[in-house]
Amino acid sequence: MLATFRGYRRADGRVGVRNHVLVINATAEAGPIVRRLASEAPGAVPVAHTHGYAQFPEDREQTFRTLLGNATNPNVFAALFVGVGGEGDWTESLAQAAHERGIHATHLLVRDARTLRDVILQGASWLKDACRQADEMKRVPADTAELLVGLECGGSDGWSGVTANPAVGEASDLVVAAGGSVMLSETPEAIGAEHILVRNAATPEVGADFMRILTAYETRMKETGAEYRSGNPSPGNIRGGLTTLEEKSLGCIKKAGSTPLQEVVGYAFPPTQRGFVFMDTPGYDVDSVTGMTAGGAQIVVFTTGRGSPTGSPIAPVIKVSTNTRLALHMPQHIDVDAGVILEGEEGLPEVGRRIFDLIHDVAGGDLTAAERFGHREFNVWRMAESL
Amino acid sequence: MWQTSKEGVHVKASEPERFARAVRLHPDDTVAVLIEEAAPGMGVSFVGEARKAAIVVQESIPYGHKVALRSMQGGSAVLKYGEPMGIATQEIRPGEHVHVHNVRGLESKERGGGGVGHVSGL
Repeated sequence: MLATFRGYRRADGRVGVRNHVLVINATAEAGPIVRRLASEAPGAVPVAHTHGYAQFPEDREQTFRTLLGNATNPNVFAALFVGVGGEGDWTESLAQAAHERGIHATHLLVRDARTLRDVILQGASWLKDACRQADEMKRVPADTAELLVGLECGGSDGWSGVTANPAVGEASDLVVAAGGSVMLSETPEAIGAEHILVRNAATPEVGADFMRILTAYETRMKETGAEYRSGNPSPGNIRGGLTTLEEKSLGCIKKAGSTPLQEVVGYAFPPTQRGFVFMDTPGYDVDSVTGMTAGGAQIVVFTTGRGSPTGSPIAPVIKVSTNTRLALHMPQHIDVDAGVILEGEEGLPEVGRRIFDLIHDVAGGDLTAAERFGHREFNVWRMAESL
Repeated sequence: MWQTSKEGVHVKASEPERFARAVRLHPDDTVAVLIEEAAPGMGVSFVGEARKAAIVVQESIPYGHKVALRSMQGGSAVLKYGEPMGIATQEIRPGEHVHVHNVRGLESKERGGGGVGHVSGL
């Protein structure tokens, strides 16, 4: 069953659901300038992070890859990279790489300008021009097959695995059946259900890839002294009705639906296969969403039981509440209430269908709650400390 | 519906008057999650399904907790989402509360399914 929407066709053929003009800092020092520039150029989206060069090599590469991936997400029309300059500076490299991928990109270095005011004037001028051009671009027909939908759990409660996650799973199956892709992440949340994903993997190699990232994650956790399996479910989970770790993680992976796992990718890498794919990310929502948008996810569907206002500067985040009480308490942060299932009003297939339809409405331009309120959290996952 | 009286004689029980609603995630599941508190004597009905479970609730079970839909022998798998979510640590009868007092998590050797459960090339 194909569903259509109108999106922005990019040079490389991919389709975006938004047409962002980004201003993004190459390193932490330029963060404040990014925010200032965005305020001078209404419509420009600030993406300010706090990373820099003083990291271990693998983290440096990860930061570069994540910044570039996000700046060249199909939802992006243009990007201005702001940095300080000097030896080893990568601002220009970022802009160059983005340009090579078909994005309108340029860079500004604080050290090149005479004054900070010059930087602001130059940058704002470029951004205003880019926004004007972006506004002139028209949406064209597209369908589900163009979408990579990121899936996320945040602030889970005992109902997550009963209402919101299975409902999202129904929507995921519809997306995949229509030729689209869904991306599951948050590697530690899969601990306890890994054997299910492996058993249902498209090939033994994909299953082995999954076990590799999961085992690596668990090993790192043990090295810090954390005993994940014995600490889960938590006392709060147990009071709420969750009995075993397996039950908790089975409830979590339910978001991805019932199709076989096609591919496992590292943090901020794009998938090459269609269908259900998995990205290695931490459980921390912001890092996880940032990784998925770097990998090309144009929309994120986010289930929450206790409430989470997390949004993204790159992709619209659709919030699904597990219970109606949350939807009533925090209406500005919820788009779909799966709690209706608890009232006995609707079943999982009906709510799943509603989520699938909303994905296409949002893809066509309808704003999510997070977008209306300007929630744009962004953070790159980092493994080691600063140098 | 039949139930055994103290003398071991089968006595026909009456159809429950009240039903506690529950969500059953998969047709093979041996448990359902209650969306309201269940009291002894109530039946169980499934959200979104016409048919009711052929069981009688045996004890008070809190909202959000699980009720057994079938007997489970000690050592057998408790199924939720169509998959083993734990192992019964004692016999569980239909209508009983299923939770940490009668279920344990799986051990690594119990996570069957694929030979790829082992670490390779790490």
